[in-house]
Amino acid sequence: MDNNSKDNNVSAKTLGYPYSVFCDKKVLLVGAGGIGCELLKNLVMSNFGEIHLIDLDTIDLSNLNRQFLFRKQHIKQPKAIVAAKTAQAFNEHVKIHPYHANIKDPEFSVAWFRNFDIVFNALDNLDARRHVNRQCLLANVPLIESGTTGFLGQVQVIHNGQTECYDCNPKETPKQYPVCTIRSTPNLPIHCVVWAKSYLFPNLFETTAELDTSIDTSASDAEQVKEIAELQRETEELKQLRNALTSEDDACRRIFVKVFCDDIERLRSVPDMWTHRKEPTPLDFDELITKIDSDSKPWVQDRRIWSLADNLAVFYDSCQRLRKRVWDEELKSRKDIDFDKDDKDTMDFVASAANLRAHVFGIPTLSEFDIKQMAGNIIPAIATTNAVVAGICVIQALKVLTNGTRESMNIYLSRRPERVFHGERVCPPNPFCQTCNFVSFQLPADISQLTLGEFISKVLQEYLQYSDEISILRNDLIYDPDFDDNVDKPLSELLVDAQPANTLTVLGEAEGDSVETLERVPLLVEFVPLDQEHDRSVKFVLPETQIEIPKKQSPEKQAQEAEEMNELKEAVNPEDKELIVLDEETIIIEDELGESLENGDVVSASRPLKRSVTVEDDITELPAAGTAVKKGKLDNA
Amino acid sequence: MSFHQNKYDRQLRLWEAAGQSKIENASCCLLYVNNVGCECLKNLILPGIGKICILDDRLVDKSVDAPNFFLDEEDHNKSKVECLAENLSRLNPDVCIESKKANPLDIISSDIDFFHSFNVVILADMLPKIQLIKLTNYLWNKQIAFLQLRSIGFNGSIRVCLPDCTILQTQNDASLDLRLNMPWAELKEYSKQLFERESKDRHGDIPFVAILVHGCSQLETGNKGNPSSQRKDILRNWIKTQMLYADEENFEEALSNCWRPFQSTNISSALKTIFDDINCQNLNEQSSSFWIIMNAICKFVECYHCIPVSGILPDMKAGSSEFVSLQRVYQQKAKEDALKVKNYVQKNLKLLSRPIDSITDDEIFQFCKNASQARYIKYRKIEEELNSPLLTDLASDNESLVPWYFAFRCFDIYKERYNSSPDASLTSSIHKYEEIACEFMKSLGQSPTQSVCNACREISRSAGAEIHSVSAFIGAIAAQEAIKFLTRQYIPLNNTCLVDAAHARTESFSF
Repeated sequence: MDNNSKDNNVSAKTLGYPYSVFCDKKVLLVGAGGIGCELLKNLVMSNFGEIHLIDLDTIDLSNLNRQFLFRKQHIKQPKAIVAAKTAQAFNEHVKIHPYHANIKDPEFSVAWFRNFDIVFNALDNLDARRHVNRQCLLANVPLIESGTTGFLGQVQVIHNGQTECYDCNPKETPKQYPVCTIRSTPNLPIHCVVWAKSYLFPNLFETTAELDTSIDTSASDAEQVKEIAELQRETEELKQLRNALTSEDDACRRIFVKVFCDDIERLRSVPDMWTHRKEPTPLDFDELITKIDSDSKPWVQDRRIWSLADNLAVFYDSCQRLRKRVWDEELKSRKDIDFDKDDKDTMDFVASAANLRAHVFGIPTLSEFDIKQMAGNIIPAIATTNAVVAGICVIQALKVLTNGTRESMNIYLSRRPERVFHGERVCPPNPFCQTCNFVSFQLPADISQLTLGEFISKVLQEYLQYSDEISILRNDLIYDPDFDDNVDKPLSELLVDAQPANTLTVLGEAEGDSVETLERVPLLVEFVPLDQEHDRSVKFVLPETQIEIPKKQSPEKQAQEAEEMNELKEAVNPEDKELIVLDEETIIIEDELGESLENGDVVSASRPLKRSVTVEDDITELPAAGTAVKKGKLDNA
Repeated sequence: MSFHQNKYDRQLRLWEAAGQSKIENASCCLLYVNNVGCECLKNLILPGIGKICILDDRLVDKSVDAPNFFLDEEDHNKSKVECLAENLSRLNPDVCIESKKANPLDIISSDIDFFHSFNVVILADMLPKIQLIKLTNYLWNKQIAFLQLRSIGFNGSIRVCLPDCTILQTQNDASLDLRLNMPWAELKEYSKQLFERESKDRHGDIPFVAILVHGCSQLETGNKGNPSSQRKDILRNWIKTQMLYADEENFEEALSNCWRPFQSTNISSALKTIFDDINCQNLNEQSSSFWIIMNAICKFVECYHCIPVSGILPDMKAGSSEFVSLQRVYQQKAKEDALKVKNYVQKNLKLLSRPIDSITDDEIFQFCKNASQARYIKYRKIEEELNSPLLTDLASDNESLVPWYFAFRCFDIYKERYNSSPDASLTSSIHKYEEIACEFMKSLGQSPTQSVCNACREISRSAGAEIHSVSAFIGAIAAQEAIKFLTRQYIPLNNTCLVDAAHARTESFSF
């Protein structure tokens, strides 16, 4: 272990304790962004043995105010690779393995997650967070989950069966807007921004853009049918204009006239639509163009609120700039342009189009700076909050790795100077959580010989005491009492493509005849190879200790909740059923963190009142540097 | 959008261009290079502070500097400040980083004016009492912010000091005042009109502000003498009768804001503190524009019994045209109020014989807009704290982190006396530390409690060494406090934050 600490003089004397805890540990760090860079530095300096770092992003200029492992010359390079290289220079003894990849790629299987002693999440989106949460639960590896927004932040400790998981508390999903509000009856600036970014822009500049044809054609009345038909026609027309972009010089004018005049006229003619709403006013291109000062460049002033003529000037100019980029001279074909908040041309186009639409509908217009925040779902981010959160993450990891998960705290940063943050003892899992309520076990088996039928009768029924009512799922259903086609097949045949790998999910009831429900939580059986020493006649080896599969908690309650959900769904106006997702990748973390209440306390979003907020000082004392607890390791250090 | 603006985009969204330019024009000095000091500097360099000067005359010692990310093993025996300046400068080429190879003690005794040009001075270690008092008194007189950081094992503290601090933009949205307790004629008229519209179809577009204002004026007659809780119930019932169907969102919003019209005053205690301060009462030649405008706002409050309308409306459920016209009503009132304040400001300026345009309309408008959030914080001198820390009843509270404070104070005495840190591996060292603790507690008129002894033991366990993650955490909090001082936004710490990282706790005290 000699070469494992940055400097042995130090570790031997004082910091030996944390150093010795970490030095033989293998960690996974998911994300090399704001928190990720800080965490990587802390992990390197805390002498973790092996750090695997994964991020699929590349470096952007706007990262440099906080992601301190990156420099200007690194822009556009992969974050994971650069971060690993920069951090490696500071401690050559630590093994850092960077991956420029998506954590959701199949190669990062549950088995792969099992390689790690602890996982750190430093992500910026709900989807990946939930994915890592699931993988860690399945792999039974502790996870330190973290997030920040502006001055707020939080750290959560997650461990299968011991604490709440990420999904135990429902999370705010990205805001969605009814399609009719976006396309016909906007009344807020955000509606115009969503229209410009998620409808107009992709339809014009992305050939592969899924034209949103999934409009609810089962509209209840004739008016709606007609309106939907109109909208579809408008989308078709946009498609034609997209072609005009590369071929016709007056394409920008034609786009303007179509979306801010012709479509609006058509909308005005929809009967009954405007009896209770303010009618939109179409814009006249030829009249407006005369008001533009040809020397003005309003787009350089992104904090000023542009006039109507300014917006036209920006629209026209950015549209011309984008037109030039649409045609690839080398390939002699058109190419796609994706909206990117940091791509000035696309941002100008979306900002001006949103404002022009706002003018049409009498909605207040905004500065480009503000529209950028909405269109890009920009979350304010500063170095200090990330550093505070990353510091807490490692201290929590130290506790998890020494005292176990139950004694850890979840930490919430507040903006109040009186209390920098507050901690809450971790809560036990939510018994109704759909994600973490399962039992998993590994069954050593020769899957080329063991058939599904034998597995059901010998393992599930005989050993685990399941009744006949069993369903088995791979990704799809492979067995239930009415579907026994597969019982004679060997498992090796059935497990191809199973997700997670080599795993089947068993749903069923306990054997018995009680009036109470006997339904058990899902059982995940992962088939692992048999030890070499077993002779070939052995098909599987049962675990030495009996496996307890708890019954599902209060199904009445769950049914009731499901019913309430359905009622809620029905209450939604039928015309609102079609939704536009603003941005699937990004979520507004602030919602998730909870918001500042009147008294300034930051609370967690969902089930805060049920738990007692404890800041009690009763965590097991951390052992002293060089005390007997980890003496063995220290001596080696 | 410039390169510069793009680079700082994510923080501009918090403290805006005005805050950013204050940071960029600021300079900061660090006394002593250690891990916690470097982590703090890193978090000032990244957001683009103007200039940094690092002061230390020691050489890199790998046995001490190992947990420091910005010093390398290869730097052993080289000048600390030079190695550090080189490594830190890579973080942000916009920042000017200077190093001065000198012992801070020498500079304090023979060249104290060296510090006069800085906006923030950060002390990352302890100083002997005499030098600490000399330095902090000097900075106090020059109105330079001072931060002292401490990171020992799992514990630490941050002490901030400045004579006083006025903040207008505390970014505290919770205190937004809509003056619903004293609605003015135009607001009442606007609200009435919305209810008198013929069509009931736009019922869901009426903003909650109008619902509350109209409800109150409907119920005004005959209810005046009743206590506010009773009137609130009457209003609540009225709102319910006005709802066309259950859960009508704008009316739900009105119900949850029902308390607003019955707020007895919209003048916060923080604002009262400002008005009552001598600086506000007695303007003089030295008075800053903060006090001149606050004096004017105070006169406005005395005359109209409310603070100027800010003109800001929170998001609410409403039709867009209704919302826009409501916004207009509020903005118009904000403008009127600001003009009244401007009159008082100009009278003040005349009395002070200053040019009438030395305070701009824009500045006055900003003050009126943010008046409800304004804060004035007075700090305690370090010298006063050293001689008699304000302990109130906290010292005897076993739950509090105060024992750590005593342990830190004794740590400093120990270091000054024995020129080393208390070290748990040496029995004699612990005894000496505990002796100091007894002595010190007695000098404060307290008896040394078990919790103080425990804190001393825990601290001596690390023999003065830092744990990287704990230092990273403390350095970041300290940098955030420095940024609050520089931007004059957000409410800064007053005056000490104690950190117990092992138990994930922090607590703040005004010692």
